[in-house]
Amino acid sequence: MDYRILLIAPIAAMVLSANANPPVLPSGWIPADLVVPAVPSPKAPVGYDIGLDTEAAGPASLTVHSILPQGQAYQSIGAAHQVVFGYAGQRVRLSGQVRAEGSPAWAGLYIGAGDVGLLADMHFGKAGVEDHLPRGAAARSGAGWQDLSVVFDVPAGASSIDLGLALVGEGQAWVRGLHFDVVGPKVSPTASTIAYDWAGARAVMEATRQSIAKFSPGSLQNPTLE
Amino acid sequence: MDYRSLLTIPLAALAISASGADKLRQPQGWIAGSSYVWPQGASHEAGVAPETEASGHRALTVKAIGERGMSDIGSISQYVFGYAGKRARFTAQVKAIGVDGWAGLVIGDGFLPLWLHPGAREADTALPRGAAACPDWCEVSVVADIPASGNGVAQVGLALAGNGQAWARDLTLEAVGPEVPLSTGGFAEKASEAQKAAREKFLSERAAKATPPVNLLLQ
Repeated sequence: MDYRILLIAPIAAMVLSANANPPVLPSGWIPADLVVPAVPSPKAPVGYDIGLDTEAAGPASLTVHSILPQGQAYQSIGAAHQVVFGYAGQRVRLSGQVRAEGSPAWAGLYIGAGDVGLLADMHFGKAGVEDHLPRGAAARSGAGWQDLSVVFDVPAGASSIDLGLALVGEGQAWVRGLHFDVVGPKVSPTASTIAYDWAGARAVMEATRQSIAKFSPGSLQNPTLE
Repeated sequence: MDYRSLLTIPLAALAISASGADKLRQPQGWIAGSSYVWPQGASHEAGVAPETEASGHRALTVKAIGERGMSDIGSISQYVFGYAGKRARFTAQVKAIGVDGWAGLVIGDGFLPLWLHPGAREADTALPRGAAACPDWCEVSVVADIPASGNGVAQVGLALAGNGQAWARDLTLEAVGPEVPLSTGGFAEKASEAQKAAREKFLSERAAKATPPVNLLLQ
């Protein structure tokens, strides 16, 4: 399967789906809605509300909230993220206060080498993704606001990094008070990664590929252009 | 598990995402799309040629909107399953006028839309293959092997890179034997080179200057 189109699909879904009251995403932030719906739909589903939480009191917070029952074939991911350039060879840190509710498989801040498709590559278990899983700092669900930092050594050859707030599975996560800076060698890099079953996703993709490949040769649909 | 259901979502999204190039009538089963040039919008439109609607001999068409660059591509295509390890031949009568880039029939594999292929960030295989159109109606065929290691999905369609307009009619697709020679032509190779060069330039320029994340105050 060519996974690249599967990256495009969720983006198109976010842009074009008819959500009655979509949350407002602050400028500069990109949504990632990589949902595996419990009930397959002919229309691209919206699995996560991603944007500003206008109901919470206090400082502005960015939230990712699962709003659709999720299938178990492989894990869903929602995120609010940005792609940042020009930090190759440096150690960078993303900090913020993070809160999680519900029962997410993982929720927190992350940084990884790559572009806007970084999470999608992981979501679909793309070959080699295990070698550059995003580093992540996880929040405990139900524990209120937690100060988190994720520190990442940007590879010398990486033209860009992707960073933000991610939620694996169901539930809701928030972040506020974000900071980004370059740090020195005394600050230890984060060893943990986003907890995502990329191997399971890869197995599903391979089974899907094999299943599709067994189809009998199809004919051209509507060749008379009705 | 019914794995076909896993295909539903991306295919549906594709149909939606192609709506930027749908001023012409969209024949059922075909997916139109084009490059998007900010802020003008879609670079091409594609669908059924209006002048052929009444004749009973309808033709697909892809035409440039305004003045286009070599790397702008429009296409109208469809996915056909079941060609893993098979040789496919896509034949049609085609015509192209005012083309300064490339126009013709294309066979690709997988789900990446034809108009996105030249700018794809990963190195592609030998596919897609193309057969260029003629200035007046002529029958052309494009023949390609769909990899046995893939999902067997062939994508066939009409594509145009750059300016002009192209048409295709009397479309047929068939599996053929190894005695039928493969097409040697590529698809929009100049567009591919231009898009990859532009991407490298963009990344090089961006990498040279640190640009921290924006709007961390969430305003």
